[in-house]
Amino acid sequence: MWFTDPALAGNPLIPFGVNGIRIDKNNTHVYVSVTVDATFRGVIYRLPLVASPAATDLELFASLGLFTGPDGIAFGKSGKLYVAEALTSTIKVLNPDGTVQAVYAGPAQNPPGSPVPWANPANIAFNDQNGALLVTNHASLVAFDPALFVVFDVFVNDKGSPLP
Amino acid sequence: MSRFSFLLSAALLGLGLTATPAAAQALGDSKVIAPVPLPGLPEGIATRGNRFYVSGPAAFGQALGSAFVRAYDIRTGALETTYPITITNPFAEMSGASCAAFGPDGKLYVIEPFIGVIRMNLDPGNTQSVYSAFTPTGPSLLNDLAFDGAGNLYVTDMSPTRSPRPFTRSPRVVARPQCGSPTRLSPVTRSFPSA
Repeated sequence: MWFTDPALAGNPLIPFGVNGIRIDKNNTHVYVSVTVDATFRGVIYRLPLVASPAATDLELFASLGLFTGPDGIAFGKSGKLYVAEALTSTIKVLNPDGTVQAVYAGPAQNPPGSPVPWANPANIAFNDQNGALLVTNHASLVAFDPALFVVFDVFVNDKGSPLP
Repeated sequence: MSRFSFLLSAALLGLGLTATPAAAQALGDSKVIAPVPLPGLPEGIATRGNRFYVSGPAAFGQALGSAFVRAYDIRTGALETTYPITITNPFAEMSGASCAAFGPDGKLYVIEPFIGVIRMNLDPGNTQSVYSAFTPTGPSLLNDLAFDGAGNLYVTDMSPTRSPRPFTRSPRVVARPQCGSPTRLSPVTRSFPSA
């Protein structure tokens, strides 16, 4: 056990606590998402990369609001943090100070077929060849539809952090 | 405008043709890259070279042996290879996979929640092994993982308040953690016991 804290435990009614995890590009902090905290908010915390962090080291990086459900996260080379929000089915772009710079939403184009709605996006990786995010459409909190199980990309004009 | 561009434009106009620039891509534009075959429920994603890798299904109740990693061409979205996760926990009576990440050794590390962290070689023989068997202190629901610059692996355990039924039958369950916790393992250059 490296670190544990009640803030990471999630909500007793919706037990999805600490979830996504990434290391910043300077290799100094680990960032984690908490999907539903004790007050039903989605939050991002960070911890210093030390051998044994103390409870006082846990720092709130961003509070994303009620029932937002942050899941996977990924740092861009720009230093921005990209957050897949499972409950809002959006991608939030956070500035290095934790403020929200942009919010992206679907549907994903799918010619010649119909657009595919973003449905509970789960995780993110970078396609450095075209400046886009690759996102898994988990589609677990909507009516079962195999057509929703896709990977879609989102143009963000950014590349992945050295520590993906 | 360069002399070449000017001449090209003039030639096109002379032929009654006009160049149509590609539509500019706006921030946030999205498109489907690839379908994920059943059982679907894709969760993890990682890239390496000209491929991206998707792991799943991330859900309870999936049949034993249903966990997968699928490799796609990052340029075309074509499904190239499926790597079934062959290591299962018979006590769980189900399988699954959450997130995946490449280690500094070039191997793909995938979380199978009923096993722990599985290291996959992604070779034609689909060689894989248990990198770290979890439930060191009780039931867990491992979700995501990341390597730091020194090769340490950090894993999140997201559901400490739940006690999934399968684990009540696992001989490795000895206690229940009090809350969620990223777990720091040793560098990947070290070996770990198999499950």
